[in-house]
Amino acid sequence: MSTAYRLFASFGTIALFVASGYALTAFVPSLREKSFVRRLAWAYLLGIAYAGVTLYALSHWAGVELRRGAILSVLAVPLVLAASRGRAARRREGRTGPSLSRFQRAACAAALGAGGLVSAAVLAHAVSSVESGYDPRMTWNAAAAYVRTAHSVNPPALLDKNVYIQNPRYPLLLPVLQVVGQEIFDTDDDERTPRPLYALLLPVLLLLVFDVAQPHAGTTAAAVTVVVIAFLPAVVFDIGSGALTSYSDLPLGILWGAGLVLALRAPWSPPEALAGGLLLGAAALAKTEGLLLAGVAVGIVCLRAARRLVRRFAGSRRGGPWLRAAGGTLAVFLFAAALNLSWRAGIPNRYAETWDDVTLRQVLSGTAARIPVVLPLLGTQMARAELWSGFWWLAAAVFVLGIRAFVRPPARFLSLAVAGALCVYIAAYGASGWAPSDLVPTTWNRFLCQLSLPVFVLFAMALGNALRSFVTTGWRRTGLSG
Amino acid sequence: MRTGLRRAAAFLALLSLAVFFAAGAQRQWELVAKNLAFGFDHIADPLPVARRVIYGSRFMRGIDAIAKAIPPNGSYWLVDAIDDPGYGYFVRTALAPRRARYLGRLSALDQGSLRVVLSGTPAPTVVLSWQPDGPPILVDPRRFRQPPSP
Repeated sequence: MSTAYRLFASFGTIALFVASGYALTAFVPSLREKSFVRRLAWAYLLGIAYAGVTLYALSHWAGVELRRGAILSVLAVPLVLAASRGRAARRREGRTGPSLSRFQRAACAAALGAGGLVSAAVLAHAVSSVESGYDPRMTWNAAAAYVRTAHSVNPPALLDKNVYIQNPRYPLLLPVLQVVGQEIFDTDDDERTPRPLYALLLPVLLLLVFDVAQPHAGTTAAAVTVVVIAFLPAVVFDIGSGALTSYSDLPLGILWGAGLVLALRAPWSPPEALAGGLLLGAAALAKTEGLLLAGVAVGIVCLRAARRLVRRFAGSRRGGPWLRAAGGTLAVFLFAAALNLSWRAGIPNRYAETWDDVTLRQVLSGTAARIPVVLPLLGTQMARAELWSGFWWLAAAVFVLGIRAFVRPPARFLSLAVAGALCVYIAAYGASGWAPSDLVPTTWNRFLCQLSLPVFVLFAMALGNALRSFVTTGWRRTGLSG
Repeated sequence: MRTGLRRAAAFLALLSLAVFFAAGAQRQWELVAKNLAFGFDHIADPLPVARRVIYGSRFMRGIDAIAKAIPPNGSYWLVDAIDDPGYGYFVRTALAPRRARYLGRLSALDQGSLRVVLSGTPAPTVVLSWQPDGPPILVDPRRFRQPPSP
């Protein structure tokens, strides 16, 4: 396979995901109204979520073979629907962004420069190097090879209990996405071909953080936060967690964070809720803990809807749309959760962590016993300069200085979701049979990457609040992201 | 008073940002330059070269030889030659979609399991994952047999 064809296959796959996702954004009012570049970021995420979940379900439940024809048909459905319904996707005419002050323009230029440089560096590595990360070499690339050979998410290698595979029940969304490009373009087993799929998630993260944070934190704080992320080796260049490798933590984190934001966002119309549910469903199929994290997010959405329902019975009439929206998110999530559990049930477990046997009592007693040991280890990881460059010291200062930002509803609910995810991680540390000194260094920084989107949006909000007295020109809620 | 506090908060936030950027800038931009340079140098590498650059010549020499001997739909028994199982994982992924069955660690091979393997027909293929002084190789499993203890 020539270099030109390999690059064509890599970027052709990305273009197909973006095209399919772009058509989906035409059905989601708040995404349809976005500027072209922001919409592209959402389109890529929706594209991979839609293609991954749909192909996973078709392969598992309907026995559809993961071959070029089936894959292209699935990718084409949103395009056909959008075209036939005349939603080819224009935002409303005459809508322009807010005018920016010189200071804000400088901050945006810095964000564009820093974000562009680190993204280019990650992409350059991805198209030039085979995979060097531990988990991709242990789990994900092997799973992708088995799925591709069998054209199925139920390959014989996974079903045969005698075959030596670590954690065979790890869900396969990302290997399926790897196979999509390999099948469409009929590539060989060059592991460089699918790597840009992962690398592109870094600029997507940066764009989403800016897009989500800007209306609440202001343009300057949102842009500065993007520069801060670009300075974090753990998120960008670290081989054990960052965008440079094909670990599934950053993809899971972005899918989960974006789904959370979309599902929590006004105006609570069913399309937003379904799109949020789709992203959360994809998160549930991207990694084992994704199911729990998505459950936390859906739980918060349902709690909000229930609160509205109580108000409705108390006399307010605003409950209806909230309930429909929450129902949509819940329905899509339950579909993905059922797919996850049904698929897992057919895979004989072996060479795996023993999460299936864990009881609530074990979690509670283990957590109580191990927390005093675990907490200092978490702090040690967060203080590692080669990974975080002192970010958590900066974050602590910014969160204290901008604490008033957390009284606003978006910050409250994002904080609640982060707290819920932290409870999941702590419970996992409590229940694990591994010694904390072995477990924490190999997992905690990846868990923090899973929380990227909400944590960085919260950081931007606090920063915006702390900087407010310095940056007042042009400071207002722009409403750009709906 | 309140405005003064807010200005102090803003000043401290800006100071914290400045310290953060100053502390991390050099290392991060070195990584940017290193990865961009790597990309320019290696983007056109043929696959065998790209694999050798990352996994090493010895490792790939061993993998290529084993891959020629076992067809893609074949299977083999894997023995971890050193105690770190990570090297066995990497060998298994490099040989996928060939299916591995795990025989154990070389330092603690179970003779009962070995007897079961040796009784198979045709003769089993065994890959020794990675040795301290050599690449992964195919070996004759009979070499692992130990005489029964008296």
